[in-house]
Amino acid sequence: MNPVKAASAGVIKSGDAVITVEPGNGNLEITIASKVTAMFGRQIRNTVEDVLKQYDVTSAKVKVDDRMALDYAIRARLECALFRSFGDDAVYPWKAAPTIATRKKPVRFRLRRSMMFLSAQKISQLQDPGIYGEDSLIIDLEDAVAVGEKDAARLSMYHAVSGNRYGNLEVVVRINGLTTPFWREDVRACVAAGVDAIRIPKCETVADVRAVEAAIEEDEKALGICVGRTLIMAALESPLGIINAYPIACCSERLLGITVSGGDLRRTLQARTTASGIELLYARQAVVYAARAAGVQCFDTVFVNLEDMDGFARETQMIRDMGFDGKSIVNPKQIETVHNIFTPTSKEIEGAAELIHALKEQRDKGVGVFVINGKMFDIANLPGAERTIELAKACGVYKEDL
Amino acid sequence: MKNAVGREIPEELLVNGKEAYQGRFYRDGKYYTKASPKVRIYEAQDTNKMCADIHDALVRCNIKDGMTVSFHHHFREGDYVMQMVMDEIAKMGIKDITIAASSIANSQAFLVDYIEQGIVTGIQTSGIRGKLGEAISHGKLKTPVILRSHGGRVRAIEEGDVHIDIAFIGASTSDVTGNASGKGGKSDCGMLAYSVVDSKYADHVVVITDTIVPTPNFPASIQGIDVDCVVKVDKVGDPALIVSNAVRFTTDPKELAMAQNCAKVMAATPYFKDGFSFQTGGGGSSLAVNRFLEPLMLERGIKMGWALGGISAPMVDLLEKGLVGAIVDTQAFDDKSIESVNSTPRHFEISTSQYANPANKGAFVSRLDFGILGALEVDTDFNVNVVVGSDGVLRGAPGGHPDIGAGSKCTIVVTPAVRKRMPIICDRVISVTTPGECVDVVVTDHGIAVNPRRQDIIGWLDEAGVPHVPIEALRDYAYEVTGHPDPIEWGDKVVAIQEARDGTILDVIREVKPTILH
Repeated sequence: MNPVKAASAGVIKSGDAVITVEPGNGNLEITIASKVTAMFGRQIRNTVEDVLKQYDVTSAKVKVDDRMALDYAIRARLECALFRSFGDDAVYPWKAAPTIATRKKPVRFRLRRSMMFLSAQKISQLQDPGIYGEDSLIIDLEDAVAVGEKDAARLSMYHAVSGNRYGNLEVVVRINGLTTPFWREDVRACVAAGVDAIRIPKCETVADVRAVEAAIEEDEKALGICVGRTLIMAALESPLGIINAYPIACCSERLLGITVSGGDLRRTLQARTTASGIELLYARQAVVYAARAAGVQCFDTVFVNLEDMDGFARETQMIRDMGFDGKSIVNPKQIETVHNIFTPTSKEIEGAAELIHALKEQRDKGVGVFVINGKMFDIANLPGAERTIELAKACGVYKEDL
Repeated sequence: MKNAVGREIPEELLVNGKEAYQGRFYRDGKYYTKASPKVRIYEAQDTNKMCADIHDALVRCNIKDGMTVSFHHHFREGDYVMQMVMDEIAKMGIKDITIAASSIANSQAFLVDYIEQGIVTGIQTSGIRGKLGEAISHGKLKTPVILRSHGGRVRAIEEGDVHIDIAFIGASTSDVTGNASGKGGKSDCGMLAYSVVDSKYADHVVVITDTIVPTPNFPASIQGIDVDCVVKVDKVGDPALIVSNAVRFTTDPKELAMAQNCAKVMAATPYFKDGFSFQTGGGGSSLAVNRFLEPLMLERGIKMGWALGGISAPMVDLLEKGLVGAIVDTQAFDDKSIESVNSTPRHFEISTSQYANPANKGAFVSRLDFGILGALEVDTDFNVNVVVGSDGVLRGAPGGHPDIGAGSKCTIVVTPAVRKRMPIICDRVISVTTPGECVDVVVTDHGIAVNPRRQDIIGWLDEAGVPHVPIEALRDYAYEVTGHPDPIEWGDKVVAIQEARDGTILDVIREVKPTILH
């Protein structure tokens, strides 16, 4: 295929590249400008020629204004510009990423204390996966990406995630809402890239989940990927969504959990944002109750005031007390606070270990209920104590055998 | 011939006693005779040193073609003095001038025109940046630039490698007899450490100030007995640009993590004891190290004996908290440190000779326990480049880097492994600024590497449970991210000579080949 009109992708920003494609004169004209031409000019050219060959481009003018972009970013920008230049009917041929074979399979229940949002539009942000120690990454194709850049964002996400550097970091991708024209292609890109889970925004009904499930299954089959691989997360952002929390939480084997999404919810509730969070009290409790009844995980909403670390810590403590498994965050500096609050303290671990031993001892003696330090305990306390030890192990703060 | 860091030094440069780098401390224990200036006698009563203007001063100092003039960089990007003087020299039709500056800022790009016109044909400096760096890297300057560290510059002047005909010293304040200081006035820069050696060894010394104060202007960095002329101008500089970029208290978790690891490395060594000495560079991570030292010092119940600088606010904070015995300082980077050196008794101004001269009887860097430095590149021999960019163009300065590296008992380079598409940890640096034998530990965002020459540090880190990896692993990681780079292609002409502190030649930098658009 050859370009039929001029198109470009990328912005002038460190770590990005502006690539312009125009119809050619029967041959390939490639010009590359870069601060790292001396060291990487040849490699950049090879990547460009590689991509052009992949799509049988024989006549085109390609200009690369590189700002120290890594290889995945150059590929993403070039493919985006190319497919924009191929005309409105051009369909991108998603292929299953080769890295799917080597990456760990998605895990439904795992440590997810911190789930950090990154915008797929800021392509250079995708270059250092996991470096801040977040438990999970949420790459956003939805609200953090402008309407005109949805195609670019998909390609950036695909090339970043399918590169060799994501290792076993869990990648969740927030696709666009089901009322937009974008979500179906988002799902295709996610499944092809081999992401761990797809996050459905503004999820309101079981039918919403089913629609995404069906799309995922269709794409897994078409791409030759193990059916059932890709997981789902449902973000509840409206009163109806919160009301349907339980049926949504129950409805799919792929569903790993549900979350409260505060921003949109407050607006539709016509409520105010308060320091205490009272306006979200019911929503938060509904999500925890639904998740526990359905046996899936639950997560709380983002806190956007990066300067108010005290307020952030208070809110995180509150939702931890309420029973949430983790919290969405928007900046690496929030990670330490979340992990500190969600990681069992040595006092909690000792208490839990002591309790498990005591329960075993007392059970062997035939005793049902007993007292430790003035408090009563019985068999009902065992799951809680075991959960504490499991969480401590997952956080890396408990290495003994229990 | 190949020197001790494996760099090829052209034979034509190894003349008149110039040697290739032989290793650090090569000249330790040897004797030399200091150079001396030609001094005009001012015996008559009450000679008027005040000149009508810079032109007048140039005439009185017998400016001629081919002379060497010198400047300091205490006014950083806000300096007006160099341009005022060079504009006048150009107006007078003088040419073939060599500029011996302690460093050159981006704002002095006007020099490119004077280079093209043949008015400036030689430059000796620590820093070369911006358009000037590009011009020189494209071969525009008639003779190769000589790059020296701060300590190396002092040695070169005191040994006579450089003979300064006229030294121009921008001063915040001066009295009419030339007692000049970096304190007070409209452009307070805290101190004039870099010009002390110029004032003692130049044939003629001109003080340029915008604020004349009553005699005697004591304490003075520059003594009136060494000064020929005093010129009063409207402004010596722009105070807003004199201070470095506002001190960045980084909140980037990556930089904070590196700073914390750096502090952990320090605390694992036996040098971290009561009375230890410390110098830090200016980058975000380096400055943040101060913050992590504080709890470690309190935990161990120890205090810092003295801090060496380039100083900015975080170190002044530690002094104010009583955790530092004294600060000895050659350069105040921000308002807080300018204010502190003006008013805090235990914050002392020292000359650059006291700071880092390798050829005196022991400068402060030689007593340093810890030095924290940055890098543009570090290779698997631990050589560091802070001068040449990824495109082969001059865009940095050795500054105090080689001096601290050589002198400090534990030199730690703190840097990310990759910056965008630039692999910082690499096979071979583009140019050697500080030799690998002077760099002990590299702390990156992907791991810590210890120079195999320091088995003692390896032992201490193992004992303290601080994990470390071979530097090759960090290089492999960097190349995995960026791809393996091609070597830069150079032209033939040598455009810059990197001198080691002791005057031997560490490396040469050639002109870049014109950029071929691929």
